[in-house]
This record gives sequence, C-alpha cells and structure tokens, in this order.
Amino acid sequence: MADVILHDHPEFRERYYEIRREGPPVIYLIPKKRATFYAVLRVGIGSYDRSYRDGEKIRPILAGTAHFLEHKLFANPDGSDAMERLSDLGADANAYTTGTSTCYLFNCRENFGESLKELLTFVSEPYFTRENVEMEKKIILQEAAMYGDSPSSRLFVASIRRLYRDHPIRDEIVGTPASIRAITPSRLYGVYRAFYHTGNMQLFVAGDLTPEDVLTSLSDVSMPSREGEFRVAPVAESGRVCKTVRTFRRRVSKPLFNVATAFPERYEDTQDRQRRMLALGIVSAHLFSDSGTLYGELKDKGLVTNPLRWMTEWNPGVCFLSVSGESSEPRKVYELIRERIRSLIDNGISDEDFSRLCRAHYAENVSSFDDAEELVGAFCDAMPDWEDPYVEASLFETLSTDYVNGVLRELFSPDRLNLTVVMPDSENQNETEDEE
Amino acid sequence: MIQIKTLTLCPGVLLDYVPTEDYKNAAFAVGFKYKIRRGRSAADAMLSRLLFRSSRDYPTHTLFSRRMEELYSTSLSLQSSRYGDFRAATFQATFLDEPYVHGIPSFTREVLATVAGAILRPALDQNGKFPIDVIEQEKTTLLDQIKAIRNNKNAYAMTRLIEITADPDRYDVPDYGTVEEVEQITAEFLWRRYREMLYRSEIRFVYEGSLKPEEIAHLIGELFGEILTERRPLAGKNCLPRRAPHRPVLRVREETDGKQAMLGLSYRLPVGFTEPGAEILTVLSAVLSDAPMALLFSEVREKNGFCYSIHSSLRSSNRNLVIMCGIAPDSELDVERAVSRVLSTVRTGKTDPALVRAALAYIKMSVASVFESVDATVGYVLFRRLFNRTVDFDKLFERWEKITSDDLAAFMKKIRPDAVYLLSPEGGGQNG
Repeated sequence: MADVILHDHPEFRERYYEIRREGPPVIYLIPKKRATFYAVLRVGIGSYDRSYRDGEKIRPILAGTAHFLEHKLFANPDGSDAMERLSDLGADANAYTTGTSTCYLFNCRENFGESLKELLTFVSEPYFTRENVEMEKKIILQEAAMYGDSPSSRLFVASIRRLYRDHPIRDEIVGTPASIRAITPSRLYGVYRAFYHTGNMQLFVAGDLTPEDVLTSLSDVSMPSREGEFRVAPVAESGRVCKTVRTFRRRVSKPLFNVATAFPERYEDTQDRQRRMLALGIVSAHLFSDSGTLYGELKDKGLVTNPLRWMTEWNPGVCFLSVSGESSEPRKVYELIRERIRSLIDNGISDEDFSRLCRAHYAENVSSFDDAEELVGAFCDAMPDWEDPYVEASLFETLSTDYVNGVLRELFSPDRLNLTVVMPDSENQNETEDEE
Repeated sequence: MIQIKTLTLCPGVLLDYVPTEDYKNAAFAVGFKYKIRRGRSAADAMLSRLLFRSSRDYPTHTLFSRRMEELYSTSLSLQSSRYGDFRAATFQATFLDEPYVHGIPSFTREVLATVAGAILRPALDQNGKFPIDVIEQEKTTLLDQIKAIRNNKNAYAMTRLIEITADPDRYDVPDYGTVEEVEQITAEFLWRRYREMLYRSEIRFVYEGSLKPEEIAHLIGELFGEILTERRPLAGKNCLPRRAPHRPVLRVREETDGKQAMLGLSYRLPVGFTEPGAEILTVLSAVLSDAPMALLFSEVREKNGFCYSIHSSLRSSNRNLVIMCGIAPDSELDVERAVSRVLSTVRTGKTDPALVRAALAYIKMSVASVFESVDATVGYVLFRRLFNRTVDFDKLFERWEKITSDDLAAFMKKIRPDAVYLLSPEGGGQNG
C-alpha cells in the first residue's frame, strides 16, 4: 500500500506526485513527456555536517567525509563498480555533494526500472576497505589540488573564512589534505550508519512515468532505516565584519576581488523565509546585474570589463551574499559598491525597477521547469525545509516594492562588507599582506 | 527523433521549424556563415559582441539588458567559431513561450524585433559607424578574456597545446584571436566585416516554439526583410585539409604555480568533423572519455588513481584528438604510459564490446537530451544546417550502431602522436 498525493499547479501546467510507502524513501515523481528519464537520490548529509549523535555520544566528522562517501559508495562488495553496472544498463550515473546534501543520480533512455533499483541498491550496500579507501584518497587529493590551484576558488574560500569564524562552511567540500588522509573505513561506516537511512533520504524521478511504474520498480528493494536522533545542527553565525582587506597572490592576469556580507537569519515560517530570499535576489540583481547602473558606472570608469558575478546562499546557520569580479583597482570597486548600497538604502528600489526585476526572476523560475535536471535540482535544494519550486514561483505575486525595500533596509549595510583580493604575483612584490 | 519542417524564405535562405509541445520556452536563432580572413579572428569575435550589447533603440548595455528583463528575462547567446575556411556567427534568443507570458501581446514578435534591431540596427555614432569608445571598451574586454585564460590551468594548457601544434600557414588561430590581432582592430574593418556578414554570407534561421511555421516565416520576413536577399553557397571547405606528413613529436614543458600539473597529449586525426566517415569520431570520443566507465577514466583514474579529471576532446580547428588531465607533478611518465595502454587497447581491437555498446547508449542519450532542451535544439540544428551536416538522427544512429571494436582499431592505427605538453608547478609543487 502506498499513499500517493498529487500536487497540481495548473497555472504552470505542472504537477508532481508525492509517494510514501514502507521501504523506499519518500518519492517525488515529476511526470514529463520526454524520451529520457532522470532520477536523483538525495541524502541529507553534506559538508556542513561535522558531528553526529551516536547514542549518548557526539562523534566528530572529518572535513570531506560526506564527499568521500559519495565517491566510495559506488564500490561494490564483489569488486565491481556500480557505475559500470549502470553503464551496462545504458544509464549515465554521477554524484555530487553540497553543504547540506549528497546526491546520487542517473539518466537513461531505457531500462529505467532496473537502473533505479541499482541506484537504491548500491547506496544501501557500503563497502569500504583499507585498500579502496587509500586508492580513493589519491584521486580526491588530486581533486583538492585542482580546486587549490584555482585562484577564483581560493578567493571564494578565503572570503567565506573571513565571514564565518566557526561554521563548517569554512572548509571546502572535499576537505583538507590532512582531513582526507585521516579518513578510515571505520569512520566512513560510522557516518554512513548515522545518515544513510530512508528517514534522511528523498528520491526524485522525472520522465514519462506513472506512480505505479516507479513503485513496481522498487517493489523488492530493501533500504536501511533508523530510529532516533542523529543530527547535530551547526551553530548559526551572524557573520563577521573585517575592517582590513585580505590580499594574497596567485598567477593571475589581473586582480580578482570578492565582496561578501552575511545576513542574520530572521523569519517567521517557511514561506516567510522563502519570500525574504526572493526579495534578497531582487535587491542583489538591482545592485549587481548588467541592467543595474553600478555595472554601467564601473565599466564606463574602466574599473571592470566583464560583468560582476554574484550569488546568495541561505542554509542552516549561514545566509550571505558574495560578489566577485576582476579589476585593476579592487578597492575603488569596493568603495563604489558601498556607496551604491548606501544610496539604495536611502532612496529605495523604484516601482518600475521592482516590477521589471520581479518579472525577470519569475520568468527564470518558470523557464527552468522545462529542464528535468534543473527542476529536480531545485527540488533537492528545497529539501527539507523550503517550498517546492512551483510554490516558490507563485510567491512572486505576494511581493511588493515596499516589502522588498523593507528587506533591503533590514539586511544591507555599507559598513558590513568584507573585501578580499587576489593580486597577480608579478605585481607589487613589496606590498605586504593585510591580515585581520 | 525530431521532426523539422524547412521553409524557404527567399532563394538560398531557409528557416528550420521545430514543432514543440509541453515546453515553457521557445527559441529563435539566426546564423551567418562567411569566409574567414587570415589574422582577423579577433575582429570577428568582437563583431558578435558589439551587436548583442546594444541597439539603436536601446543604445547602452544597461538599457539593452533592461529590455531583456522586460521581455521576461529573454536570454541572448552568441557564438563565433571557425570551421575550415569559414566563420560561423550565430545569434540566439531563448524566451518564455507565449502561453506563459502575461501583459505583452504578440510577445514573440517583440523578442524577434529586439534581436533584429540588435543585428540590423546597431547603436552607431554620428558617422554611421560603430562608436570608437565602445570599440575600445570591447577591445579591453577581449584582451582581458585572452589574458585571463592563464587563470584557469586546464584552459591555459589546452590553449598552449593548440598553439604549439598549430600550423600558421593554415589559419590555425584561436577562435577569439590573439593579443596582437585585438590591438590591430579598427572601426573601418569592423564595419566592412559587418556588412560582409550581413550581405555576403550564407544565412539560416531556426525556431522552436508554439507559433506556427507560417507565422514565424511572416515575422522573419517583416523584421529581417533587408537581409532576405538571394544567397548562394560559398566556395570553400568546412574543415581544414589534411596536413603534410608528420614531424617528430613536439615535447614542450612550461612552469606554473600551485600544486597540480596539467598534461596534454595531442594526436593527429585522419578525418575532420565534417568529412565523410566522421561519425566514428563520436564513438571514439565516447569510448575514450565521454561514456560512463570510459577507458581513460577506468585506467588512468579508477585503476591507478593518477588523476581526478581526465578527458579527451576533438579539435576541429587543427584536426587533433587532445587528451588532458590534471596530475601530480612527478607522475607524467606514469600517466603517459597509462594513456598509451588505453590507446593500444583500442588499436589492437581489444575494446570491450560492452563498452562500445555503452558508448552507443550514451551517445543516443546525449542526443536525446539535446532535443529535450529548446535552447540546445535550436543551437544544434543551426550549426548542423550551416555546415551541411545531417539532422536525420535515425540514419546517423544506424551508422553509429554499425561501428565495432575492429572499426575503432582500424581508425586508431591511422592516428599519429603529435605533441606532449606539460605545465608543471615550479619546484615540483607538493602533492597535497
């Protein structure tokens, strides 16, 4: 027996099914008339999880463990690799880790049922040995070196570290060389048992399927379940303001800069939080996108050439904005950003700008519903506490210029921006690095 | 796989219409194919950027960007690439389809009008040419882009490998040109090249969305009428000719910072993308690196742990197969040997038939995935039409499915090593 709930969104001509049954995790089926199928198993463990409850004890999790598990779970006890088995079925498999999730996925044109069964089976059968863990360390150390050699990646990490003193976001998803080397099979098994169970998973499926198709595929799949508390939430931080500029050197053609600010996490309920996030997106676009006057001014003054890149994140314990770009004069860009924020707080966003940006953001949301991977990704990001992407799109109607200006004035301050810079290693050899 | 209806807009100018169902998005693209000029790649790359940043009606980039937001975040993309004797400049708009737009009647017409305005009525100065200050700004942007390649080790290593294996007599230059070419760009040349692109090129249009074919044909006639003049196919080849017999393998080593080295291995191919028999390239690429558990991934990464990322790519600009990977600085010989084992496996006909089947399944799925994206479909169809490549994928699948391990072996025997490029950290770096 299964409970099948239909969530219908006729305004977008979209619908999805929520399927609950004893055995597999909660299943979200998004019917799409496509020739291919796509499935993602999301596990609620990511790089922000740095400890877990084991009975009365709190056990630490080394940085990079969630990511290591993601790599290693493809190994099967019989020596085969799950990716190879999926490949034999005609499926293309992959996996990724974020701050809050680890996702195992595949897409295929045929043998969907068998591939889905294989996905849930290999995730349920961990196999870690000293030999296969040591081999994986070599690969992951190369991955860490690849990110370490990327100036933009180093810049972002440095910027976040200045923003947050203790939160696990300070560590990269892959971990550090030291933490990677310290991982052992027993540590992996401990974390696996704590987090990999159906109560901490969701399964997302998109394609030309019915709930019966999916349930039939999983009729004899057995997955681990667990009772009791296991999660230890990271402590929320409101973020630091650093009065000095952090500068370091790499082999880059032009200075790279990052301006970041953290926001306090204040909200009444899930929908309120989501509305605030949408408002934050509109304010950020007004400030930093190509259509904003800041970019035009920076370009006319010769301070930047390429558009600014910006992103916001709101996850347990962290809420921040990060803006980056290239400029020969990063401090001037920083001062102009501060000035622009000050001016926007004083004058507010106009009705015309709000309307245009709201329309653009709404359209980007709706456009993404065509892409099964992007849509499922949005569902994964929404887990466990956010509204689904269709509800999010409909929340735009509830926003107003006054509401967005209220969020702007509550969250933004020109005095709470950190600047971090990567200078070319060929320039200003005598300049010392500022440290806070 | 997809049904395309082709309409003639005027002699030599065609519209490919792709019917859609169940999508929120629509897409429209126009492509120009014109003769390449030696040493002018930078000007061609800049021309496309100049056209899609503003227009007479929206004369600054800010105003133009705002117009895109008003049009429900219509996304514009452009590409300027060379294939053999030709440059292909494509301009594409992806936008919400009519049923999902509120408050703008004839929305598709508004989008196409904005695209047509950008291409046909650019923002000009009082002399009727591209403004000098805008050209200088875009020159700086292009120079920054060229120089910034060094920020990304993988991209830099690939660029250097192409440069060292390039044959200057055959116009082998990067798509966006060199620093010297950028500095030589003049407003007069850009204007001449623009006129050449509009009036002496082959043109093709592609649309996918909910409007009917005749409606789109009518809109194109109304909005792009001034360039709907008779066009004939241009003489020239879509692919560089085969090169002279090979020289000794080049080995180049350069230094960088950081911890990881980049190793690039280049091999000469006997056939180019657009030549008869080229379908084997797709299967070879899948077997080597694209498909799950492909040979390079299995041997170099999974079995030996030599790298995190290894991939192969086929470079049409110089008819080479390139294998690139990030490795520990002291392991290049081990990795070269591992790659050599992989290529020997293929050359001796020992590619596992299961892998060939998996590669074919992967190719089919990749093509099917392209056609599940309106944006990707339009770009893909436009490119293939401009270069006379088939869009009959059922026939193409039939040809792919006939390829066996023995065919791959025979083909691999004709591939010759060309160059080895190593970008290594100073002082050997440290492995983690």
